[in-house]
Amino acid sequence: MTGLEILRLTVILIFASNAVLLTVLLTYKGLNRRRTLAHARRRSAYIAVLSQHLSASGEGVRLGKRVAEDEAFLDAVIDLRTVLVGQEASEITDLVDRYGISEQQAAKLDDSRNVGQRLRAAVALAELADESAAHVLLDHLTDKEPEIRIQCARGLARMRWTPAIGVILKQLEHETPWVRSRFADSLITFGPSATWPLIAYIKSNHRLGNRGVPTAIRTLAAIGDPEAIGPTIEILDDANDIEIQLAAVETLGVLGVGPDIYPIEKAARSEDWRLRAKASKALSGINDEAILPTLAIGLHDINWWVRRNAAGALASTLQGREILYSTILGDDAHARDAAAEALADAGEVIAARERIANGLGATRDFDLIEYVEGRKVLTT
Amino acid sequence: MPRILVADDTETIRMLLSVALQAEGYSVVTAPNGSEAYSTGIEQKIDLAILDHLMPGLLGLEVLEKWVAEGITFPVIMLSGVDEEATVLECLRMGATDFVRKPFRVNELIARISLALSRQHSI
Repeated sequence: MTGLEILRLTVILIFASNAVLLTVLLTYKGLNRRRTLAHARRRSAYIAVLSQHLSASGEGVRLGKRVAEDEAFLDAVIDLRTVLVGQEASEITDLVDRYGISEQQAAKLDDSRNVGQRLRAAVALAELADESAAHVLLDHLTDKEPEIRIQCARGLARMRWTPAIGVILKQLEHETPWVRSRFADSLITFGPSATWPLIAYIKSNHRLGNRGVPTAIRTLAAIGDPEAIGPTIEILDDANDIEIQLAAVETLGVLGVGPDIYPIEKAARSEDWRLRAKASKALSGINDEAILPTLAIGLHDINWWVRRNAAGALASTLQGREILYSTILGDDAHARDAAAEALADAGEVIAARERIANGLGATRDFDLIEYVEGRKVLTT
Repeated sequence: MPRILVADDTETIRMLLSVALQAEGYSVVTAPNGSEAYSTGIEQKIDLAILDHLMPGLLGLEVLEKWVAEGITFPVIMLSGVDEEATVLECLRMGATDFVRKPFRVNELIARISLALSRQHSI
């Protein structure tokens, strides 16, 4: 065989194998498309049948037992459960029970070797939020697949299965930041029933360098239960870890500070500028003379965020605004800018202009306008 | 037979309401987006419209605004997952007869439709 013949044979082989691969690929794509379309058609048909079932108050339609094995039926049930409430949603739940859909998905989650199928089962169980599957979801909170763990936590939260709170919390430390944040979303779904388990978890773990504690503290802020204010202040006062202190101050900034402001004041004088900035923000709106000196110091801070937040907090009270007005006449140019911006944001510049226009302008009104116009501070 | 327009980008809702309303004796026409909803409301004889707010093409509120500018007379019930007070008030100010939040009860929506139609006839 000559060299030319070998080359020709090689080219033919390459073309032939490419043609085979292309045919296989096109056939696979075609089949997949056909399967997707057939699934969509069956899903639509099931929605129509289930809608008739609902219109006839659950007596109109008989479906064979095997529909429970059809994923299109599962999708239709989930879609309807998502858009309905009340009696109609209960009727769909009855169907889920009657056809053993949860049991079937739970068995898939437990037994299937296909990760995709297990994940789909976990998503379905999370969407259905059927309590009969709670124990399976609880078992799979420690599944080796992160997305399955996330779906299990979501499902348990959607069914408000409170025994799961402790298990989710126990997992927090060992999870990646992504899974941890999704677990936190589930804890938020539990609402105030997660407040005290979270507080107990934080108090038991915040000295142990547990990586889940800051997430747990921020979860309290998202839940928004005022019961958490006192314990969060205690944690802030007790913690040495800067991440925990930051999370606690952020949370107090959302929940409100409560009567014991000393730990936040202390944080506003921290060596860490992030803590000073967040603490200054948390002190906003508190009508207590005791915090004014701390905020006044913050107004002269070396860090822009601290100055801005301290000025914003001072602008939220009448006495604080007096400090801002006097700062405009001071020597510290950065503090003057922060004070003028905060007064502008609080509507003082507009008010001062109106007073001047009406012949009622005081000296400080003229000082503020002169400063704002001279420094070109952004006014509202 | 009163003719009802169901405009929602979710197929499940269009189908669910079509079946439920037809079972109640209404004639139903559907639209999957705001633009089609607008043109159907203008071109066809509609007795009542159920309008989703967040739709592709035109938002429900925009469809309502254009219909009002065209001088439509049929009642419009907004059906939306948007729960912001400002949006609800804006829809009602714009001329919506009612606002139903998703997830919803089909029977309650049908009762509201019936009420809106009987009020319309009594005017």
